[in-house]
Formats: sequence, structure tokens, C-alpha cells
Amino acid sequence: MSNPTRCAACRYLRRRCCEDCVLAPYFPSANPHRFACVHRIFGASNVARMLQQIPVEHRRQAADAIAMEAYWRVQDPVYGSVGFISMLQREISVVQRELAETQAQITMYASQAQSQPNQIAAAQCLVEDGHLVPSQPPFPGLYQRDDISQETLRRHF
Amino acid sequence: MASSSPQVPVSSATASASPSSTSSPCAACKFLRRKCQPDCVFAPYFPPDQPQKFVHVHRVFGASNVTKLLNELHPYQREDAVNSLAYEADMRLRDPVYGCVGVISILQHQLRQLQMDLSCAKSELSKYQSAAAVAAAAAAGTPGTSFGATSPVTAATGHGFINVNHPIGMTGFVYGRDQFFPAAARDPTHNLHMMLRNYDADLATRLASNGAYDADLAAAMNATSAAAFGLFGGQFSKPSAAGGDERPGIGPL
Repeated sequence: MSNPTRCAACRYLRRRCCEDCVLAPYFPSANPHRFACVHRIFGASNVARMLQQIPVEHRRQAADAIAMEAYWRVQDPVYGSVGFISMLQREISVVQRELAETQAQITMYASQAQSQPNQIAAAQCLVEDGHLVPSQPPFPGLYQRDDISQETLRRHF
Repeated sequence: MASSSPQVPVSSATASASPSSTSSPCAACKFLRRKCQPDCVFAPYFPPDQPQKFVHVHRVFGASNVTKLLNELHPYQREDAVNSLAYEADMRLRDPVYGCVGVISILQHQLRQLQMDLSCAKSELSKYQSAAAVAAAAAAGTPGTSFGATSPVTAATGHGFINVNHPIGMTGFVYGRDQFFPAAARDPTHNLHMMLRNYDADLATRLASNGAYDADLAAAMNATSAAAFGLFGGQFSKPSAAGGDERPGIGPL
């Protein structure tokens, strides 16, 4: 028995859409361009085979991921989704480098603060007396910042 | 979903090799059991010593689809295209459900975590810098001075965070330690679900949108191609999309 409303795949392929069409749940007729991209890049038979090899509960996610990859490949025939991966990897390395530099500066300040506690205490007194008005109140536990720095360092080095 | 995100492979082959009548057939023709012609489109990119590369690409995309894809590209673009197809095929075979999209989701999550850590670190650094400035002012003996240090929050900003959500179509996520993601959104799978729902739900909206959004994505894609070009070893001339350098906006159709 055929599906009275053909899915986008069967409509595109001009064939009867069966009740058990594996593509029908994921390529509705309302979105023909989605299947057109997928068919152009992967091919209908490849997609049907891939979906059949996946448990039913994961097929929707798989179909969506395949559709996205196909779309990106149509938009960028040279790199497709790999272009995004490259971009993200590059950005991650930039942020990691900046984080390392910031951590190094924190370590430097923390060690200075430990070696010059009196100066900091004096600064705090001036602040508390109102002589100096920073934009934020003095932070407690200045001499216990090492644990936070060490924790952050441990996570990133 | 893939638990690791392998680096994009750097191509070591050049596009100049072509089979002669005396050399062995390329991996594609060997797999397809056909005679490897001198003008075989696969030969420069599927050498006989890398059979798995073509096997994976053929399993996922199919030889005919790859042929059509390569024929639409300039010759100098084909090696990058083949290598990216091979990478995508590998990822799809490793993770049949999410493939490369899973890798992207993981990298997005990692990047968000790093950006949050960087924001916190800059906030902490600014506190130290404020204290050091206060100490220096105290040592200089200038009581009563109004010290208008920038707040840690504003001092912590300034890094040009890439909006990792835009290329994939996600909306509604904000950064910052005090504006936590919903707990479920920390899960890359949840992010992926949001991403994929937005992909379909925003279809008409993105078709209608223009201007700044597409310009941002076009800039991101230009940066993408430059980055990918670097990762592919810089052996090729400047990559560009088939048909011209101008890239369309990225987003669901």
C-alpha cells in the first residue's frame, strides 16, 4: 500500500511512496529542497542504507545531521562542513593561547601579592577608609587566591 | 557521537600526479575493477597505496556523486575537496548518527567552555591589576584620589569572541559566568538538537533575511576557507568556492 502523500524523496525520485518508506519520516514533502541537497551529495540509496543501519530512535538525528552536511557541502563544494571544523579548531587554539597568557599574568600577580602582602593590606585599608574609591569593594581572601589559580592552571596545563 | 575530534588531515599528495599506462591503477579504479584511464578524475587524489580512503568515500558518498562534485570544481580545488570528503566520510563511518556534525558540536562546546574560562580569568586578572594599581597609588601617597578603575566585568570583555552559534543557526545562547547555559544546553547532544530544530524551523526566516547576518556568515566562511587552506598544508592556490569568491550566507535553506 502506498503513502497517499508522497514524501519528498519519493516525489523527487518519481516513485511510489510505500508505507514503510525509510526516508518518509525524515524528508517530508513540505521541504523538497532538503532532500534535493541530500540526494545531490550522498545519493538516495546511500542515505536509505545509512538510515537502515541506524536504530530507529536515532534516525531522526542522523537524517538531520546528513541534511546539514549536505547543505553545507552544497554551499561550499570544496570544504563543506569540514570548513566549520577548521574554523572552530583555529578559534579554539587562539582562545587557548590567550587563556594561557592570562593565566601566566595571574600567576605573576599572585606571586607578587604573596611577596608584598603589606603593600596590599595598606591599599585595602585606604580603600576601606574611603580614601581611595575603587569601582568595587576590596576582595576578601586575597592571600588564598592560589587555590583558584592553581585549580584553573591545573585544568588548562 | 564521536568522543574525539581528529585534526583535519593535511594533504601530502600533490595534484600533479597522473597515472601512466605502465603505473598501477588508482585506488578508485582498483576498487571499482575498471581500467584506470589516463584522464581518470580520481587518479590524482586516490593513490593506490591508500585504498581505504576511496573505500570510505565511496561508501558514504558514492563514486558517481564524487565524480560529479569534482567535475564542478576547478582542478586546483579538487584535492582539498577530496580530502574534506574523505574526512567527512571517516567521521560518518565513525559516528553513523552525527558524523561531522557531532565533531562540530563538540568543538563548539569546547570553545564555549574556553571562552567562559577566559572571561573568568580576565576578570580575575583585572582584580589583581586593580589591586596593584591601588597599591601603587597608596605607595605614591595620594589619599583621597578617586580611583575609577574599570570594573572587572568590563575589563574582562574585549576579546572578539566568535559567535559559534551563528554558523550553525543556534540562537539564544549567551556567554559569561553569571549567565549560565541551561544545564541541558551544556550537553552537546542538546545543543545539537537545538541546532537541528532551528535548522528546519528557521528555514523561511533565513531565506528572507539578508544584510548583516549573511555578511557575518560570509566573513566567517572566508575565514573558514583561509583556516582550512592553512590546515591543508598551504600547498594549493587560494581556495574559493566554485563559481567565484563570494560566498553565500550560511544557514538552512
